[in-house]
Amino acid sequence: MKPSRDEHAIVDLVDVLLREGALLQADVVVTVADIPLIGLNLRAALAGMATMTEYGILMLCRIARLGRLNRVIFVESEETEYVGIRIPSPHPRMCCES
Amino acid sequence: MTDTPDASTSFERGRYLFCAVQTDTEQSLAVDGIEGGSVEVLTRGDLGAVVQPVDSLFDSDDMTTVHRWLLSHQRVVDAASESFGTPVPFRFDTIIKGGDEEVYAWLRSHAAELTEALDSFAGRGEYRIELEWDEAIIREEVIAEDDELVDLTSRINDAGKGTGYLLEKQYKQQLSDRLADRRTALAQTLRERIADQAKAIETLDTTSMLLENTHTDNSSSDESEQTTESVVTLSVLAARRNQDAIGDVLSEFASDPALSVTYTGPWPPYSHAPTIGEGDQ
Repeated sequence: MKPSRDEHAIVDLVDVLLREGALLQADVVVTVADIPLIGLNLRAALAGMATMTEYGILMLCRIARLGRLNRVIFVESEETEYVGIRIPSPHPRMCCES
Repeated sequence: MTDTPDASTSFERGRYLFCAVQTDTEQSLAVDGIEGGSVEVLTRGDLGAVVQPVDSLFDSDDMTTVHRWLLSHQRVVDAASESFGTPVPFRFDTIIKGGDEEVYAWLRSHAAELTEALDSFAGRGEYRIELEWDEAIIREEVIAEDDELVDLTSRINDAGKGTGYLLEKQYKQQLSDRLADRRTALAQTLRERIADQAKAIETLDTTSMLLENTHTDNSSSDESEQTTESVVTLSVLAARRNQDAIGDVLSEFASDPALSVTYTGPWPPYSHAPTIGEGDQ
């Protein structure tokens, strides 16, 4: 059996780009609300919930569960602290319970 | 409230970072970037950053647009792979603030990490393997091989309504447990069989973040009849010279009529890529 790289395989692969790939953690990286990830509209659309746009947090939790941000540290305070990432969180408990 | 997209996703100057490669030659890549942008390779020492000048994040709630961007991203990383060997591929929408000078500074300050990652990827690629089974066939096999299930079937047939109901529940639970055990054992066997050929193996969560929004035409009514289920999906970082040996193992699995295997690659090692700059914070 030979590995394939046909069109169908590539279409399946692109989903990976949203959650895999090297992460760059540095002050030089453009961030959204201090999250060096995809943009807010895209995150909200992927989450499929309008409230994501308001809070901008739950999607990150989902990404964290699915992908490389599995070293998330949840802190019950005004801020939710991630390893190397800090985002303002109006509802940190929501994040923990998602 | 978080920042609004307009306020936070645009900036004066930025460099969209596709991947890092091993090269000491600055050049343009003959491939279109995202939305047709130009793609440059900026170098410091023997490290190169494959970048595209941008002034905002690529951000949209239109999944078709996002899908097109992702394909463009992949095309650029593929082109870089062909020219420079296996790269360190960055996640979609990784953008360095500033211009070329900031990219040079970043290459300099992270040279050790990038070099280590590139060395570990040299000559290797990511291969994705999905093992599926026909649940109906496996179920029959499990039932035929399991004495307890055979015994339960017999007791159900002889039992009255109330007892029969309870025994059926017990039967279903036991069958479910046996199938789960078989699934776990099969996945483990696959991992063990290819382990010698791989530098790293990861089990993937294949929950799609994107395809569920873009592939709506696959859910035909015929699928309700299908009993094919995924057993495990693996991402394997392996030397390209080992891909045929892995393929031979997979052929053995695929020769079982109850099993099917999808084997793709070599891809840039997205699933095995490191975090660069972890100590910066």
